[in-house]
Amino acid sequence: MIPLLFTLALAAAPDTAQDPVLRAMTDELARTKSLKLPDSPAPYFASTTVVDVDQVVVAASLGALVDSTTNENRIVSPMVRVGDFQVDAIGFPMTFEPPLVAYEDDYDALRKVLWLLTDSAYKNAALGHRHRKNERQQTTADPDEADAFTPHTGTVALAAGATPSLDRARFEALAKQGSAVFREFEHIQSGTVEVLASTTLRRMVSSDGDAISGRAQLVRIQIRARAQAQDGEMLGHSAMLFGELDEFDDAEVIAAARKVAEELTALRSAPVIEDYAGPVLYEGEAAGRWLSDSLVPHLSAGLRWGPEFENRMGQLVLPRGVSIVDDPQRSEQGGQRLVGTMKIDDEGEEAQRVELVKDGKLVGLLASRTPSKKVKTSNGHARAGLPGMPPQAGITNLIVQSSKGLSDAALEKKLLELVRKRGAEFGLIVRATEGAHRPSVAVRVGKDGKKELVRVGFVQNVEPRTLREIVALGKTPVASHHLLVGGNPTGWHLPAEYAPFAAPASIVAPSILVGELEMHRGKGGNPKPPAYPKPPMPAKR
Amino acid sequence: MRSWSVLAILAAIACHPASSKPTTAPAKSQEIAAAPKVALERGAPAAQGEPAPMLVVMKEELARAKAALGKGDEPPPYFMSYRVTELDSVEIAASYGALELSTSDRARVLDVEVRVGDHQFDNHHWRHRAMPGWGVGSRTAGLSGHRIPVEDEPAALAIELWSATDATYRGAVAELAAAKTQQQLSAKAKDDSPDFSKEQAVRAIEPRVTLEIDRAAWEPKVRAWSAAFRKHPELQQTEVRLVAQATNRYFASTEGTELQGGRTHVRLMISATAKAEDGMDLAHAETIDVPVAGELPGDAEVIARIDALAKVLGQLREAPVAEPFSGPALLEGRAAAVYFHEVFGHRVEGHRQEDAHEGQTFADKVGTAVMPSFLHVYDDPTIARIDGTFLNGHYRHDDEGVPAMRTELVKDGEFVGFLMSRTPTKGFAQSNGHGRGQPGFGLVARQGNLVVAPEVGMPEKALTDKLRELVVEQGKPYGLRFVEISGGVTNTSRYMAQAFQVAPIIVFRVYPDGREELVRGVTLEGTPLSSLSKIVAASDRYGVFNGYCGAESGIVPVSAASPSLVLSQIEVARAPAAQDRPPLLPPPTVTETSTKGGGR
Repeated sequence: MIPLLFTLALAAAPDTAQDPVLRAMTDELARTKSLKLPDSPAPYFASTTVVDVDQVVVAASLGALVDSTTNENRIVSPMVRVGDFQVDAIGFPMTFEPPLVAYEDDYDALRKVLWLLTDSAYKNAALGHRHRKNERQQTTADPDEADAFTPHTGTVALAAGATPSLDRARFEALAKQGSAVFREFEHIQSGTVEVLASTTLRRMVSSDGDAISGRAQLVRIQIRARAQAQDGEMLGHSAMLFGELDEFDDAEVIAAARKVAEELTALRSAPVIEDYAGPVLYEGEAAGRWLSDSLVPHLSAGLRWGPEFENRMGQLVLPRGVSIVDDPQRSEQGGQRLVGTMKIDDEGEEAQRVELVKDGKLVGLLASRTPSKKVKTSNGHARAGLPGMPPQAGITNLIVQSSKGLSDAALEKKLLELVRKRGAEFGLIVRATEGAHRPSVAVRVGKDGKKELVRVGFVQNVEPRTLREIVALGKTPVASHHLLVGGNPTGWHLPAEYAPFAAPASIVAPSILVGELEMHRGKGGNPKPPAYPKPPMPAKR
Repeated sequence: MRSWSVLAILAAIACHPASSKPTTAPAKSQEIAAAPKVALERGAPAAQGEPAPMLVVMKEELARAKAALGKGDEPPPYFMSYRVTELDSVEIAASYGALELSTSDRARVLDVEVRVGDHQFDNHHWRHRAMPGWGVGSRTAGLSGHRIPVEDEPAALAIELWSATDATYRGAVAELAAAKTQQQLSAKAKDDSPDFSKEQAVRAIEPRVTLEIDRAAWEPKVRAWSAAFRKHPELQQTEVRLVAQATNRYFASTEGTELQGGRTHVRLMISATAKAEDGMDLAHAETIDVPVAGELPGDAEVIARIDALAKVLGQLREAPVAEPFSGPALLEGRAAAVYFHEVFGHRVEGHRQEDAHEGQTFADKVGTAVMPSFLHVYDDPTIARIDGTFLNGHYRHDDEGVPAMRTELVKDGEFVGFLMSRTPTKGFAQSNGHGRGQPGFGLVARQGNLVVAPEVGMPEKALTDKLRELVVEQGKPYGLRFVEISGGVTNTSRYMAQAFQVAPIIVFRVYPDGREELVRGVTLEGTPLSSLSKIVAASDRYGVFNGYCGAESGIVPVSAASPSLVLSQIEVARAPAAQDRPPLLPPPTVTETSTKGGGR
């Protein structure tokens, strides 16, 4: 039996004393060791996370404001572990959704909330622990079973400065200016720009002596438009931009909206490819987006996605020459900004550079304090999840390179070679994709090299074994930016409520040529054209 | 992020009561006075205003759609309407002296109605009938709300109207074709009422209402009020919440109806929860409803109410758990109003009589006695205040553009009519202005201001005596006095409605010697409707319930008013016991007695 480890680092005291929130968290956490149900042990670990969120959500349609709201929230999430480092159960408060708690810095109000939520978290952990114990009595032991949790020495790292404020009027102007662009396009039936801007201050204290706080900010701009194709199909097209608060100006949003409008207009008359099986070349940012679904989920240790990669440690998972590292310490790569940079992770561990793939072979995985069979210690990649979810390992800045990278021209040549080898008429280049499944801008390349914009279906096979279909990589790395929740890429559509829990990450990758992918479109008739014409749409004011 | 509970909606609509047997009216003893005096204040029509840009765009687009649709081989719409609901709101919530929430919001929601076919048989045919082979009619097929720009930018609004109309029209044409096919499979229904009533066109252009509330000025007040709960650390969750809203509605139909107007509502909610030693969860809430913030009570009164609420919860924690009981009961005014809203009001919504899935409690009851003959019940949305109290269910035109009418439901104990939307039912061909719904929902008949009006009423004191007499007469150990039937501590939505559950909160045992004892964990049981026939006496003072009611057309503001009532028999059961233990640790000690607030 491991002795209870409740040694709040003394070093934390002078800093936390200044902040009523940290003080309330620390004081109530200190009481956690007294939580005890008659037939269950007291917790061996407890942590409390408090996330302060300021959010502005603005939406505009064709130049007119549809929605503009601001929110100030505080999300409180205590976590309690009952058992020991080998076998334990994790408990979170039993609430249907995060409870509404006071966002103002009031010591007493926060302690009261923490008292009730931690009580509930402990009871759930104790219940889980009893179930675990019963379960283990009924089943034979797995000799390889990984431990539940790794020991850790407390980290004190408190963010300085103040949270930047959100300028709602500026975001309203961005949304209105951006969406007004769609008025100029005859065939566009709806065009919206939605801006989500948030600042967060995350604080975490643990019974290991951690006292950590960190600030983050995010602006996400979603541009969406709808039009009816000449054959009647309802087409949606979108773009997403994200970065820091002051990163976008009107001109950039207008340009992105115009690009969406132009691409959508072109798609209206683009031919349809119902079913496709054959080579696909992912160009530029699209390569990183494809990897975010096909590769990234498998790079974390633990059983969350099955032992697919873990069991292939030391084996070839990608073509020879490919190397992949995740480097949280870099903030720039080849002149391109990286957004996943961090010094310590969300469990207070130092964030380390991790070699994942070397010459095509899997040599490492990203890890949090939750060990797996092959990865026993954290390498500082824990990323906080939604309330009620323990932190999970995830990427920060993923850098993919190939020592055998081809030039763009050589990649295209290789694509056509594959086409000819199959006896097919054409291959596909994907220039933009919403996650790995939905290519949004695709071009077909005929045997004669002629290129034409086409409408394609959904990619069917996005699995780790598809990675073995990679035939070649390019030379020029392009950075794409992503949002992760609990270490998982969130794909294209992240609801505004989840945005405060999303961590940014970058993938730097060259173009990728995949030997065979399958794409299918849903069958069914198209709607008729509108029964009467769209009202006139004069240019804005 | 928050949403109202589906359970609450079920509680409001999913009851299946048995039939009721009326008893005779009480003998007029000397303590019975005349009919309770009541002052009804009706909402006066506001001055004619100018059509707002929103309404102008709606009329233009409606004309364009009417001229264009159904020119080819597709059926033309015989009716189209646009309803735009514009909601401005401010919501401030605080707990324990610190703000939890302070937001302002502005939203416009468009609802488009397109009917193809004719009044007798149209695309809505199966929406309120049990579909052969399906069992349940599909009212939510009408779900059609669109968020549209809040700015008066004519072109951006017009395109939203156009695109929603086109989609709704396409849906209506397909729905009519499907309805006709379905009709061939269906046995002849006992009610062949038309699908849509014919009504007079109305024009009422009132000035828009505006939300006049200064958030910065109200934040410190709400914060300070919520700090009053610091004196009561034994309570668990505590909250003070202020919700102020101005709702403007624009309506235009191809029949020529044009409406513009709005209402304001300010609600202060005080709520708290506690846990008894045996694990039972206790919740209590108090709401204060007024039309404008200026009518809210002052600091002293709000704090007194918080203290009273905390005191009741403290007493409830210590109170014994109710035993299953059958015997006489007194429902105080507000509790009686809630009771009527739930057990009677929902069952007289006209569309329920046609849907085979519904209880159809009153379908064949027209002209028969359902209550003692000294009781009248009506619903009158045109009343703005009753005895000076604001009524949340007041409106002058319903969401189908029909003028609200006083509707007699029970006269001399006999059931005489239903609340009607423009969906006719057997014997009731016209709407009486009760077609209502939340933006984005299909419309059905709903309550507005439900009023229980006895012919005779006695002073409250005499009513308690009456209860004790019945206890003795029936040889029971005690009777029950219901002070508060309530719920909805946790149910708030983006649209700030508070859903409602039938849950008695404050109930006393009344012993023959006049002694009273608070009990907890009471649930109403048995066949509530039959208890309506067991009403034996009423008081001479009205109590008012203001709330938001959830049913299939969403959440709508409602009121109910009733004098206190004595029932010769009511059945209660013990509430299901909660199993979870109270918190293992004592509450943290309050260290700072005052709050500065404001900071993060």
